[in-house]
Amino acid sequence: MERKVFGALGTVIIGIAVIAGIGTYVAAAKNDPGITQATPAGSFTAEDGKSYPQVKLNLNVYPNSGFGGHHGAGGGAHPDWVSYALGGPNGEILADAKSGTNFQVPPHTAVTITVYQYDSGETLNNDFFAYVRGTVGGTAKFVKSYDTKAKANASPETVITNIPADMVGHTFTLHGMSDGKDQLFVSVPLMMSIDEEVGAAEEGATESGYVQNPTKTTFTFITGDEGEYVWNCEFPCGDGTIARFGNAMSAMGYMSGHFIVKA
Amino acid sequence: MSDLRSPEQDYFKGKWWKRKDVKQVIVLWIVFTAMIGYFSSKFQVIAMGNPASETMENVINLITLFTWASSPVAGFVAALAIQALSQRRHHGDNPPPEAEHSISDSPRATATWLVISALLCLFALIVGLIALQKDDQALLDRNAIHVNVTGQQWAWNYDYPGSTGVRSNVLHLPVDQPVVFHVTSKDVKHSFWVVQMGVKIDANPGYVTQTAVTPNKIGTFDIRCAELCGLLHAYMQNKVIVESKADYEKWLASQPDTGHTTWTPEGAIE
Amino acid sequence: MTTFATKNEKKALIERLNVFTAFALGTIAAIVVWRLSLAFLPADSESAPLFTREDKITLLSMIAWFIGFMTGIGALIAPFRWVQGKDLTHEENMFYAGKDLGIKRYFRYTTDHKVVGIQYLVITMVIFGIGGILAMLIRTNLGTPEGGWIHPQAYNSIVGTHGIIMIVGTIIMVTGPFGNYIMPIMIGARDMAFPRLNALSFWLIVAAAIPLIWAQFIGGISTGWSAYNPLAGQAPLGMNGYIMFICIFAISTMVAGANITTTVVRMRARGMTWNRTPIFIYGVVASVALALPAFPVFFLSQVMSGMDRALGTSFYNTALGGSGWLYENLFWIMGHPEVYVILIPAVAALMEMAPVFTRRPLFSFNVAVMGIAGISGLSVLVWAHHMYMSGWAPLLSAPFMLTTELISIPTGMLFLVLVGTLWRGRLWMTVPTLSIFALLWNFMIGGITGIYLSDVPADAFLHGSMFVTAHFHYTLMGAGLTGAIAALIYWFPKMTGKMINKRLSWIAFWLTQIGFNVAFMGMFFVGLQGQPRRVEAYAEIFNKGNLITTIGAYTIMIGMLILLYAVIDSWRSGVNAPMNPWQAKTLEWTVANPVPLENFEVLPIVTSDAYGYGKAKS
Repeated sequence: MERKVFGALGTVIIGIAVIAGIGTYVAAAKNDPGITQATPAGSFTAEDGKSYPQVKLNLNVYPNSGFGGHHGAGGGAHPDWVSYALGGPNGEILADAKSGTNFQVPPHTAVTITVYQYDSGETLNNDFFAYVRGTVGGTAKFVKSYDTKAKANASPETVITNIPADMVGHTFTLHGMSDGKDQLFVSVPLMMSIDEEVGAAEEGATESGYVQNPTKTTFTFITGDEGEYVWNCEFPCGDGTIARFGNAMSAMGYMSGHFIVKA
Repeated sequence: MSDLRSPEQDYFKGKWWKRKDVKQVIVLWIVFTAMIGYFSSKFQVIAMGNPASETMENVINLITLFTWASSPVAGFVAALAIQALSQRRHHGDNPPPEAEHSISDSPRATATWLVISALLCLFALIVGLIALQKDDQALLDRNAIHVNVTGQQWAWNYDYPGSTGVRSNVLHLPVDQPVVFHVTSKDVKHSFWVVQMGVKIDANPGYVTQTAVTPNKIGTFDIRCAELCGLLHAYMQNKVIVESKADYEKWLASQPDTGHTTWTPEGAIE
Repeated sequence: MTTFATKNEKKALIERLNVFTAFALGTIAAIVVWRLSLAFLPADSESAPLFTREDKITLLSMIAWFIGFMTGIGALIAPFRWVQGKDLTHEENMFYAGKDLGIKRYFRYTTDHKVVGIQYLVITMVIFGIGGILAMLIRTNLGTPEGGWIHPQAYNSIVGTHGIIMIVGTIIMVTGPFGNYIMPIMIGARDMAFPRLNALSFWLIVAAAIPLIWAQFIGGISTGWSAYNPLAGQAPLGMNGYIMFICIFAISTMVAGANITTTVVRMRARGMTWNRTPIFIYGVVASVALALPAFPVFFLSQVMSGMDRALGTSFYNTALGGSGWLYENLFWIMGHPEVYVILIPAVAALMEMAPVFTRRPLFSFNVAVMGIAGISGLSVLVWAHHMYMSGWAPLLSAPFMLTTELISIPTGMLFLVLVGTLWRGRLWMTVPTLSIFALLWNFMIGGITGIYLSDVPADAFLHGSMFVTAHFHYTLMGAGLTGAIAALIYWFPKMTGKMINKRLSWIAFWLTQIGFNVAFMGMFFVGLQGQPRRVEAYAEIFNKGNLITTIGAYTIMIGMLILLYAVIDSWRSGVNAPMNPWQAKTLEWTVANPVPLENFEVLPIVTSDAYGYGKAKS
């Protein structure tokens, strides 16, 4: 009888160990390089005079995964997929960005995100996303050409509420689930880079060949209570798949990520 | 059909209703019916929470009604099963002695069972058809406002045709006002589910589907995608804000004028 | 080792082939075709709406695997001989039947129905093991509201793989092991009508399993088990694994269906009229006969899906003029009969056991047959109740509501037969007996919740929610799997020659049943609260219900592992079983343990039905 008790217990323990092992493997296989904390950056005063602490994030969007570091050497498993990546403070390409597309910001804080957009563009399949939505004032600051070498705007900064729906490179669209709390929704269209420069970038697999004058879009939004959000790109950029929403669009770490609001 | 047993055996012989086990079953039946009906409908009503439309109230009533209608059947099966369990049970490695009878059929019992289950089935069907008819009628309401719903991988957005091109990621609706949704998708199949209002319709790429509802409570409710649509399906949700007519008009006027709507299904705009 | 090997000095080809040569040949074929197609297939045009090259490569490699594997196992030897105008010799046929081969026959293309039955039993247990592991990953991920423990696409893939693998497991769980091992003996036959098709149907499942595992490493099945298009067209390369898996499995099911149906119709013992044929046989035949029209449609739906992916056709691609509704129709024309393919034999197995463990005749055999026939007939007419909310044909909602609700009548008949048999019986408290009670409880809940779902206005709320998930787990697992486990315990003595450990199986029974009800009551609750299906993260209001479900799921896991141990331990070192431990009256209990190769030395003659229990006086 004792043998049977041990045998049964042993089977249960082995079973749990197998499940734990496979679970650990699957969790590790998501290949998700951690969460980036946004950098604190003073305070922000809203139009109504209310003051919020402010944090900043700098993001770059590339036409392929060869840059940005977090996909590994040579762009990882899918070097030809478009990708977001963490950027330097002036749009620099960070070849060794260890972190991917998951971000964390504090609650009740002004979050300012600057996106340097290195990719070309086309027409959105839904011009709803050609509008700036959910940011402070419903606007974003836009620079058509930013010189990453001189670290200065190469064209004047304008305030925009929308861009032409046929000139969109990508979008940054942040949303969450309906769970009885404030629901953050931010969507900002990112203007495409002019074709010649992106063309050069796609040809050259080296940093020097890359477009040096991306578009620059800066926007600020105020976070509510703590919560789990996701963000993704709403410009269909998964080439060769149905509705162009497969491939890079359907894998975390490329055109989407988690966005955690947490103290 | 039996080759060996005498066919005249039946449960319904003499004063069968005076047998002890029959009496036990009847008592258990009444108790179980009441318990199953009561607890199941309580479970359902608690879980389904506060309805935000008459449609949802009807759904809750339908489910509770079906629960009560089927609880006598469930109660009867449970009563027979428990009564059987309370009989002499046999443990051990060898079979118990044979049962005291060899009844292999009871035409009366099976006929009664068949008639009752057919009647219950008919009842469910009629109740369902009446409710279905009501839902279909709502689509034709001439006083309804129309909202175009677009699902795309992993966000919903709403157009208000007839306005100045108002578009929103949060659905605003005036209370007590019928609304017809025209639902479509930009890519794969989604399902537009206004949870507390009890309506749902799939968003198919290339087609427009309709559903209608009249919200009857002011408040904030949930819209969730109910069809697996890829990577961020779990997050394809947003809110519906039901407000007074005045508040709704105010919100509509406060929205920026985009000058156009992207698509207008036939009949959506007068 | 065998008689003719020594005669011919060197081993004949037929003796060399086994599961290892099959795996080797399949792998080599896949690698060769993979390299060749990599080298020769043209690149996709940059401007093509769909990239198809990688899908072509994947599908071609998988087809090569399939052909290589089936060649390597020896499936082609007999057809090849036939083309040459020769046939297998008697010795070769005996070799195929596994005569004197011992343990080795389980790893070969063996035609003996008893070997195939054991093979099916083992592969069913392996499938449930894998599906169960995936279920535990799902429940662990859903233990907390936040997503992100695993990649969302990996989660979707786990949900899809769990779904399809459990569907396949439950389809074969009764008709595979018991339909093959027990059924021929039960009807007094020496083997199946087509023994080689029997081996074929089993090895096709093994061949099919590999593309499904392969799929997990090339993007997975991120669409759920229903693989709706156009989402399946958009999904990663893993979808090709699903497509191959379904195509091969569908062939296996069709082959098995034709074989079992023919066997029952043609090979029953003398005197076994339809009235004297045990009810389990009706269940098995109804199940495989339903699969016969259902699975060709499934096969076709996946061929079209594969063509959309690899050849750029547009059967389902809406953007190019196809229709997602077409896929949904094809899928559910298979999908609804398929749930009864699963359910009917499991319930029939319990109906077979009910008279044995109550020591009285089966109550109303005719009603039982009518119930099975009624469900089978109606089940092909209800598929569109899965599509009430699709917008495909709103006007058909009412007729499909009618056919769906009509199914409750024949289903009610099965309940009547079971409770009628329990009534005034002498209960012998074994795990199969307890399983009858468990089935009544679970199937009642699964059935009544099915009535809510059949009602269109209620479905407008419930469709696509966790309520649906809980409902079909109550029917397929609570009723189906409970019946299959009872069947395993009931026929274990005949199949293994050993008694299964009573105490361990009793503990396993209670843990799984309690865990099951805890888990899926919690799931009903969150479904009614409004939690959608197949989500990797959820709003906080669903937290409690999900936590309860996860706790229940872990309880099921412990119960299942104890059952697994009971099976393995009893099989290896259990008490030897007598020929007829349950004192049952069907024919399989009249043959010795272990069952001789040809079952019966003299074919039996049947003079009565198998339910002559009870004392004949009233």
